[in-house]
Amino acid sequence: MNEVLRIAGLGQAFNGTNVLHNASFSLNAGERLAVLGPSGSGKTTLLRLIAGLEAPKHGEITITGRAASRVGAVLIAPEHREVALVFQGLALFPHLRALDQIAFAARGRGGVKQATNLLGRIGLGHRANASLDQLSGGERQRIALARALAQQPKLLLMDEPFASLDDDKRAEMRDLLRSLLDTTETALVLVTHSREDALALARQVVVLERGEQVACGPLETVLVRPKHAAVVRALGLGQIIEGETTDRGEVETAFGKVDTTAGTKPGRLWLLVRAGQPRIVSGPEGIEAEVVSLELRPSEAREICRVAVVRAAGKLLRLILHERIVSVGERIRVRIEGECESVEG
Amino acid sequence: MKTCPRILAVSALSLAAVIIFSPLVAALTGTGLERHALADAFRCVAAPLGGSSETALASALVALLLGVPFAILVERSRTGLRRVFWGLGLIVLMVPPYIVAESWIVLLGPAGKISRLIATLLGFGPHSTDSIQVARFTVPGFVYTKLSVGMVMGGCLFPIIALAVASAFRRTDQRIFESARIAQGTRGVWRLAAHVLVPPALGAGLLVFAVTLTEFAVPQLLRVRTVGEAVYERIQEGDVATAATLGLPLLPVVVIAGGLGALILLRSRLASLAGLEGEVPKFTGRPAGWTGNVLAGVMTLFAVIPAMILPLTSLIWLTVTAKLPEPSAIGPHQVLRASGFLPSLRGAWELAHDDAIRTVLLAGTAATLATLFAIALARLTSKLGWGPLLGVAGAGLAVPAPIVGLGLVVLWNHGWSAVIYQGPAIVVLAWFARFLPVAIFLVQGALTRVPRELESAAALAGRKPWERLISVVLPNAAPGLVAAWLALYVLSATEFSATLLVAPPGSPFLAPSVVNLMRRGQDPEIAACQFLLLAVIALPLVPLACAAIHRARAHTIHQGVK
Amino acid sequence: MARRTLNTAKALGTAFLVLALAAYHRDHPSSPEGRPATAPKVVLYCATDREMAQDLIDQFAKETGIQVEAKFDTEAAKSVGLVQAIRQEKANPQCDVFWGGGSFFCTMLANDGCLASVPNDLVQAEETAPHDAQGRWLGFAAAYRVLIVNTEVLAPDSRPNSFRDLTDPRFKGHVGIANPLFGGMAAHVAALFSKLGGDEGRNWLKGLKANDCAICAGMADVKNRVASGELWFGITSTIDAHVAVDGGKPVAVIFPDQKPGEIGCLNGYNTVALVAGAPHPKEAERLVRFLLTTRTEKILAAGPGQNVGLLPESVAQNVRPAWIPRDLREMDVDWNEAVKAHPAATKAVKEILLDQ
Repeated sequence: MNEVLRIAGLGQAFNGTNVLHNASFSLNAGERLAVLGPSGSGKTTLLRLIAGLEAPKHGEITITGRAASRVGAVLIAPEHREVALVFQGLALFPHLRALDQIAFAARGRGGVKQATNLLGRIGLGHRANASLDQLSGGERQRIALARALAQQPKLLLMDEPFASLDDDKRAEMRDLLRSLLDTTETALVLVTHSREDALALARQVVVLERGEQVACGPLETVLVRPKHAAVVRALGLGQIIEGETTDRGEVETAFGKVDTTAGTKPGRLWLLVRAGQPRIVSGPEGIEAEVVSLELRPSEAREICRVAVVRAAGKLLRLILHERIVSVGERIRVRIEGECESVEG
Repeated sequence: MKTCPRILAVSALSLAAVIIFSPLVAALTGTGLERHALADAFRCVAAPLGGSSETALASALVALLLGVPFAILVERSRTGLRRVFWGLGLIVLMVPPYIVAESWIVLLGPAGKISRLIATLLGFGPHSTDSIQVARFTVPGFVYTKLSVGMVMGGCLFPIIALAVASAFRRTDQRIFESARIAQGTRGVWRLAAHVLVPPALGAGLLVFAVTLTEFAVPQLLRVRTVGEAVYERIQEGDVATAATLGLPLLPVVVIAGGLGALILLRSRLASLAGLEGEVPKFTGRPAGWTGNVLAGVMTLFAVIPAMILPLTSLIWLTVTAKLPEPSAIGPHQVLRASGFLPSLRGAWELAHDDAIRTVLLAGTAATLATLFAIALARLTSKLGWGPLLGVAGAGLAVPAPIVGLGLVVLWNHGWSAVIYQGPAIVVLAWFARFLPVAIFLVQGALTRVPRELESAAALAGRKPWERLISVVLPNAAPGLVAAWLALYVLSATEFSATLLVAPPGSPFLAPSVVNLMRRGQDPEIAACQFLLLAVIALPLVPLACAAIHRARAHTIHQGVK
Repeated sequence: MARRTLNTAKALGTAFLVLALAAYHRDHPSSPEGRPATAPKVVLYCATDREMAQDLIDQFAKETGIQVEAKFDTEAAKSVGLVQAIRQEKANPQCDVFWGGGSFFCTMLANDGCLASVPNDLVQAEETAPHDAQGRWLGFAAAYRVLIVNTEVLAPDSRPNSFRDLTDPRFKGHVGIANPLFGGMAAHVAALFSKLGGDEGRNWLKGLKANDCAICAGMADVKNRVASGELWFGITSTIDAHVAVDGGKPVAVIFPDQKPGEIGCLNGYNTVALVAGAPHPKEAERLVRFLLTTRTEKILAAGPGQNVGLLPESVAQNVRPAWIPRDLREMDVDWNEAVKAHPAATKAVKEILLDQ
């Protein structure tokens, strides 16, 4: 496969603080990678390093087989990397109208004709002469995307591109992006908070937590076997509870004993509790817990999913109520069924 | 990798430092500095330095009193009216302060036309019908005080405060005021407004303080002793070196005040610029109703009284009330004497049209070169994070104008440099030495306001560094750059102290001629010359106004087509 | 749109460059006529007003074909501009002829070695007209220091007639002089100190201080303040006084100290000098000769300067404006002594008048 991007041991620091440490992954042409992580985990820094806007403190970046950046140096300038970046704030040019925004990037690559074509493909052909203040947020988003694609990049970087959109518009933009990328071999690195975006658009995933790369690999693998709590939180795979392995090799939690895949080394550990594992039980089984609140969640089926948030020993746990009705303040008995995977904390 | 830009940046910084400070250094070192005279001079400079500081403080306070309410009220007014109010406010910046000071004496002096009238109306007039007693009536003057100097300068410089406050106001998402109101009522709104608007007002106030410290002509006219007068005394005694040294205490004061001001202005800019990239704030608050628009209009009129209405009134008064006895002088200059305004204007144009054309062209050239150089300097230094170093250039504003002129004479009057010394280049150098710091400050501000991500986006779109500058940075910084050009043009066109010293023989400039005619001329002559000078200053506004109107019409047409 | 902006900027820039170059190469002579590049020229630094000098400059250029490149001073520059320029240019003089407004600064320049002696015949021709003993400057075209009085506030019988009246308590707070640290007034005070002695000079300054004498920006400022009624009277020159009279202001001109035994009024005559090492000495001499003629003094008498002829022939022909009386009692000043008295006078002014 045609490798477009390789980063190895990439790190960055500002004012003595490491904001990114030891990030390594690669991407081939046409592949799509989502970068997930909480705010301040280094996602934007990663994109800026790949784009060549900053020189790394550690590591190397290779783009289309060429050394692009190394420690303290940007070897290939941003304008020569065949990389496009859709900024978090879009960075549209205030002095240019809609068509000109795209034409700016299309210079030497089809010019105004290409720009007009792209403008039509994003559904804004009738807004060619609109100035920025006349465009809605969604329209500006599309223009930023079209401007990036007008460069015909080998690698498209997007920094939380849909953050300011509502769910419907997000879905629209995801569809649009897919339709635009499907016709090219452009690789995509998408930085996002939204697991829906990641699941819809990417097949590879990297998860960052406090500047560290805690997960990297195919999305399916990561979904099945997350190894880090940050991955769980980023992809919404379940809940993380704290447990303690006893001398007898059992794992005790605030919600009682739990079966786990972990080894029997004594000590603290973090356990992934997936949806459906916490259950209400009757009789002496389980642990007594107090219902502190009730939530509703939409489900794909016609019924509504009711979720109870319960507290035991100061810890909270969510469990899906299937048929049992409970009320806030009620004391119930809960148990975690099935095996819980241990993850790094 | 940064070696080439570093060399360029160092070269540009060095060139700027040489341009700005070489005349001062030449005056200090090339004219024979004597230690005992130096000590004696420093003993005498404390009082004038105090005078300079007091007038500067008064100026900053007056500018704040005028600029802050002007900005707040005008920013909330209707769009069309807002442009008119801002136009009037900004025109004030183009009126030379010494013309304003002259009009204050004519109208508000002890025998001022307005002061006498008001005093009489208020019942303080002469209580006698004797014509001599009536003629002897004067109003106890406040015109010849430090406060008056402060009011003149504050009236001329209040737009600086207004621009800073308005800029902060526009950048603010008005929803924060709404949430403050919900949480704590009107008190909450005021507290928040203070938090948002006080820092830029304070920063701009410090800039006004720094600029007033360096003003010499107005205090001399209003009989307030400042450092400028002490400098002139030493020059008259032939001791140029000591005169240059007397101005030295002003340099750090100006740099610190101006630097603090610029720093506060910079930090007061909300960090939300990143979020505003490509976005126009949709939530701009409730526009003012009829009352608000009227208040804004009243505030505008009040704010422009010191530096526009009074000079205009003085100009019109001189024109209308001039007596026309028979001319007694012969020669072509009788046309200027004892004639009406229009014949005087014609005569003034005949006498000074060469000066006017020369001034317009050279001032325009100097403004263009200074703006371009400041752009290059700001770009090169910002790339390396050396932007704050440019603040030191502000010290150049504190060098007295005659020191600049005499220093340039010492520096350039050699056989090998005759091409420069005997041509218009020496005048451009004088203007650069005096006003390049202003260009640097305004251009640097304009360029830093362009979000970095725009340039990054252009880089990723394949643009080389100079292409990014031309296609993205300059268009987005255009308003600030135009302001810098205009400021340089006006300052250069109205400068006379250094100009008359270095202007090549046979190539006089308009400002010195006008200033002299104002001192020695008849009323119609004075009015005609002031009008000529103001017309020259306002000349570049004509194409700018046409361009703005054309652009507004093109925008309307586009909207119509849509 | 960015391209349109760029094209507009290019067009404006090109237009401006063309105009700037055109202006640079355009002839800007002091005289109205155009000038060929190879015409002889003389450089004149003129401390007197451009209005006064321009006619003469034009005439000289017309008659001799020598173009005059003139540089003028302003009162706002405290009359120190050109004098200092000549001083600083001493190593490489640019100026050929200095036309000064008074001999005080000429004497200073002469003592600094900045001036050259004029041809002997010119010195001889001066006769009784003021001139430097070594011929480094020559005087012509008198302008007197007078008292300008506002006629609306001072009846004829209560008007001053002496410089000492500036200290008269009757006029307290209503008198004014130009700043005695600068220009012509500095020369005036120095002359008084040399004429009357340091003690009397200091007493006069103390009297001014006690009388709240206004220190104005210059003699033209004194004229304006008196004309407006802010001041009742003050010291100014005949040039400025005439401007006010000609402009119909309510002022009268009084020649002070004319009674027998009094010191008379100061004659701030024009001076002309050759600059040492000047680049165009021959043309300079021609200009000096042109200026030192009765014809010149007649033109100056009739022009805005309203000067009085001092050259022997002019005296014989009574070249003067009609309103300036003949046989004025003039202050007899040794300007060399006045220059020597200047530091003491300045010190006294600062200590007594300006509280420094």
